[in-house]
Amino acid sequence: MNDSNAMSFIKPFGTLYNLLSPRRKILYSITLLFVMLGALAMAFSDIHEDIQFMIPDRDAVVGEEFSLLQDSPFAKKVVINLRGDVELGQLMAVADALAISMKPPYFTSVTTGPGNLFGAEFFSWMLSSIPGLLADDNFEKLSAKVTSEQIRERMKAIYQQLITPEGWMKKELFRNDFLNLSSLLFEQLRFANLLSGMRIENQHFVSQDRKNVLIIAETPINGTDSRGSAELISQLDGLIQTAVPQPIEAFVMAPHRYTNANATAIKKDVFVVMCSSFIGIVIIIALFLFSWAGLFVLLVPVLALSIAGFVCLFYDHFSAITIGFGSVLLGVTIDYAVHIYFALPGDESKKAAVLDEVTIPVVFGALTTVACFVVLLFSPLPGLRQVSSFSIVGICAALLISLITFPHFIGISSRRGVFQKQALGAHPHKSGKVIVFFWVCLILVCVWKAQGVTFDGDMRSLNLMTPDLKADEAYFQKTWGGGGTAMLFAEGIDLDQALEVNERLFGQLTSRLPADQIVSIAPLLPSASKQHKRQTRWQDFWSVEKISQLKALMEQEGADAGFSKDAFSPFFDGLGRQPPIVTADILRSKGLGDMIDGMIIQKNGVVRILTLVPDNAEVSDLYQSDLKKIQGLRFVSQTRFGDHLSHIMGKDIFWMILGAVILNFALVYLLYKNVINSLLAMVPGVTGMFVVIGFMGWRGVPLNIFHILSAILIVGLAVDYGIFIVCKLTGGYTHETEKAVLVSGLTTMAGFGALILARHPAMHSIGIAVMLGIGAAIPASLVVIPALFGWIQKYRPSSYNENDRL
Amino acid sequence: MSSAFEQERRTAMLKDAMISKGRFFFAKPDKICWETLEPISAGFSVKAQDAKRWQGTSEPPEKFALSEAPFLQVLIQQIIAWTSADFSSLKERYDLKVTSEDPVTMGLVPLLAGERDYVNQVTLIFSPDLAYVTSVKIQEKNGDEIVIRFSNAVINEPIADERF
Repeated sequence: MNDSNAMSFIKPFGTLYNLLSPRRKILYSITLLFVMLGALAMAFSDIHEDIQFMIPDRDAVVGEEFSLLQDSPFAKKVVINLRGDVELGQLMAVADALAISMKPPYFTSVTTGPGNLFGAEFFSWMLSSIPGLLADDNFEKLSAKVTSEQIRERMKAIYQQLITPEGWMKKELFRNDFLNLSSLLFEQLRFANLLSGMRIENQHFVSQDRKNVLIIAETPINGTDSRGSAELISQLDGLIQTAVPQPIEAFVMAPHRYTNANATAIKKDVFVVMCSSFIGIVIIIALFLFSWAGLFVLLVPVLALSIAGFVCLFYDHFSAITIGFGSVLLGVTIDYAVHIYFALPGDESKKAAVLDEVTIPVVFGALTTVACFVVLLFSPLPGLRQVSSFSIVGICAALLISLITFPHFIGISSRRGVFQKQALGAHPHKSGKVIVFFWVCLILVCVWKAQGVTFDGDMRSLNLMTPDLKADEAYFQKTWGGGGTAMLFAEGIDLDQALEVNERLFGQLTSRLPADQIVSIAPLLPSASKQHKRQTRWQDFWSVEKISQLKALMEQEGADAGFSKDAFSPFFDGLGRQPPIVTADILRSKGLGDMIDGMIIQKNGVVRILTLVPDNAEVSDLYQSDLKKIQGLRFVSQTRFGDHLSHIMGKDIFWMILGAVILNFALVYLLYKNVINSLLAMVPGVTGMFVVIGFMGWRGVPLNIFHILSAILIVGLAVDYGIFIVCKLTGGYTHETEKAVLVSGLTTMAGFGALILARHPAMHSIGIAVMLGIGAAIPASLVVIPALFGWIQKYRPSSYNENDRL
Repeated sequence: MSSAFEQERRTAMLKDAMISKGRFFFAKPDKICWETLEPISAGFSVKAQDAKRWQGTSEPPEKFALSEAPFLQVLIQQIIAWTSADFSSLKERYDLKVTSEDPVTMGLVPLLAGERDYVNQVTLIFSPDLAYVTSVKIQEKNGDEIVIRFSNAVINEPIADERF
C-alpha cells in the first residue's frame, strides 16, 4: 500500500490535534461529559445476575430444554439436611423450630414432613381405589392369593395377629382387606418416592439410619440469580446459627448454594486478580513508562469502560456478566494509548504529523479487535452478544480517546522509563532461518496436538465445586439417594393425554430398568381410561361365581381358624361398590400435593408429567432406541443438554473463529493491499491461537466457551501487534514500535493473565488462554515477523520491495 | 412393674372368645414388654424409640422404630397410662368416673376424637392399695371388647434390661 494513499483516508487526527491544542479544557470537558453520561446509563440500567444470559436463545430446542431443566422437582426448592448423633426426636424438634423461622420473602411453603399421610383415612381410601390402581401384572398375584391353600394360611396368620395388641388394633383393616391387597398397592407406590432413602416417621422426613431429617422449602428466588441466592443463603445461615444447637449440623442443598459459592469465589478471585494485575501493570509502567503520562495510559481503559455504558440503553436487561467480563476485556484498550505514547515525539510541532503516522496502524489495530467482537455478535449466546456490543463501543471509545484526548497529555519530559534508552529494533535477524524453522515446527506440533481437542459445552463444568459442597453433595446422595437424574416429560394438551403418554413410558421403563431407578407417578395416577379398564378387569375378575366361591372358601377356612361367618363381610361389601376414579385433586386432598405438583407441570397450555431416571449412557441409549418412538415424550438431562450445547457451540465456534481470521485478514489486506504483508501481520494472531488450541489438545483439556472467547480475542489483539510491526518494517518509521508491542503484550498478560490465579474455572480458563496466546504472540511479533520479513525480502525482486513500502 | 396377664377378647369376627396368657413388664419412663405365651408365642417390646416385635419362635424378632408404627404408639401410651394409674395423663384423654368403691373401679370415656370414634368406655379396676390396675376392660363402639386381668404383680423391683 502506498504511504500517501493510506494517509489520505485517515489523517484527521493530526489536524484535530492542532485544532484542539488551544482548546484543551473544552476537549477534556467533552470527554468527561461522555464518560459521566455512560457511567450514568450503566448505573441506571436493569442489571441481572442470571446465568440464563449464557444459554443460547436462537435455538428453540436448547431454550426449551433449559426451561424444562428448571422444572426439575428440586430446581426451585431449598432442602436442608439436619444431622447429628442425637435422639431422633431432638432432630425433629430442631427441624420444626428451624422450619418455623423460615419465612417469606425468602421461603414459602416450608415443610418437615408429609403431614398426616398414611393415616387410617388414607388406608381406607387406598383400599377403595385398588380396582383402578392395581397394575395389570398384579392380577396374577391376586389370582394366587385366592387359592384354598393361601386362604387357609392367611386365616391362620390373621388369627395369630389378632392375639397381639397391635394386631387387635388392625382388625378393621383385616376385615376390609383380608387378602392384604394394600401391600400390592404400596409396592406400586414406591415408584413415587423422590428420594429412595427417605422414610416417614412421626410425620417427618427421616433417613434410613435415623440420624438425618430434612426440611424442604419452596422459594420464589431463582437459583440462577446470584444476588438473590447470596441473600437467601446469608439469611438461611443466620437462621441455622440461631435455631440449630451443637452437636446438630445443618447443610443446604439447593441451586442457590452453588450459585452463591460461585459468586463468592468470583468476588475473591476478582480481588486477587485485580491486586496481581495492578502490581504487574505498575511494574511494567515503572519499567517502561515511568511518568505521569504513564498514569493517563492506565486511565484510558477506565474512561472507555464508562463510555461503553451507553450500550445499556439499547437493552431491556443487561447482564452483570457482560459488565464484569466486558470490563476485563476493555483492559486491552490500553494498547492504543501505549502505542501513541511511544510514538509521539516531545517536540510539540511534530506531534500532529507523527499522530497521523500512527493513526493507520492504531485504527487498523482497533478495527481488527472490533472485527473479532463483530464476529461474536453472531454468537447464539445473548450474553456473548452483549459482551461484544459492550466491547465494540468501549474499543471505539478508547480509540477516540487515545487519538484525540490522550496526545494532549504527552510530553518528552515525562518519558523516563527504566528501559527508555534501550532500543528494541525489529529488523531482519541473521538467524532468521533458524527462527522460521522453529516457528514452523511449533505451528506443526500445535496443529498435530489440536487434532485431539474437544469442546465442553456443559456450563456445569465451569462451576466451582468447593470441597464442602462436594462432600455435602456426596453425603446427601449416599443418605437420601436420588441426584444426577435425567427427566422424561410425558406431554399432552390436557392432563389425561399426558397421563396416557406417561403410562406408555412407564411400561417401557419398568421392563428395561431396575425399579429403584425409576421415579414416576404412573402407578399412583393412571389416566382415566386406564383406570376404567382396570376397574372393568377388576369387576371381571370378581365375577359373581368367583365371589361365591371365595365366600364359600372363606366360610370353610375361616371357620376352621376360628372366624365367624361374617368376619370379612366388609371386604365383600366393598366388591359390590362402585370404585372411585383417582384424580390429581384427590391425591392432593390426601396429603400428596407436594409430590403431585412437583411431578405435574402445566405451562403455556401444555401439561407435562415428569419421570426421573438416572442420567447415564444406558438411559440415553434406551431413549434413542425405544423411548423416542413414544409420541409426546421429551427427554432432558444435564448431560444431554451439555451435549446439545456443545454441538451447537462447536458448530458456531468453528465459524466464529474462521470469521474472525477472515475478517482480520480482510482488514489487514485493506491496509496493505499486499498478500505477503497481510499474512505477516496475521502471524502473531494465528500463532497465539494455534498455541492455545494445541496446548489444550496436548493436555487433554476440553475447550470451553471462555477459552474460545479468549482465543478470538487473542487473534484480535495479536494481529494488532502484527500490524504495528509490519508497518514499522515496511514503512521504515523510527517509532518505538517494538517497545510498544512488548508493553502492550505485557500489560495484557498482566491484566488478563493474572486470571490464571483465579480459583473459578471460567476465569482460570481465560487466564490460561491469554497467557499462552499472548505469550506466544509477543515473540511471534518481535522475532518471527522480522525473520520471515527478512527471509522474504531476500527472495523478492528489489523493484517489488520498493513498491511495497507503507 | 411386672405381672402375668390373661386376656379375653370378644369380637364379631371370631366365633368364640379368644383367650391368651402372657407376661407384662413396664419400667418407667419408656420401657415396655408385652409377651403372649399361650396359645402362641408373640409380643412386642419397646425401649424409648426402639421397638421389637415377634410372632412365634422360629423367626428372630423384627426391629423397628416406634415412630414407624402409629398403632403401637397409641397402644403403648394407653397401656402405660392405665397400668401405672397415671391419673394426670388419663384426665387429659378421658372423662373419669369412679363407678365402684370396693374394689375401686373407674370408668373412662374417651375425649379425643380418634379414640372416641372406636372406643365406648374403658373400665379400670384397681388393686386395694391403688398402686396398679388389676383389670382393664375396653368396650368398643361395634360391640367388641377386651378384658385383661393382671395377676402376680410386682412393683418397684428391678427388671433385667434384656426384657426390653
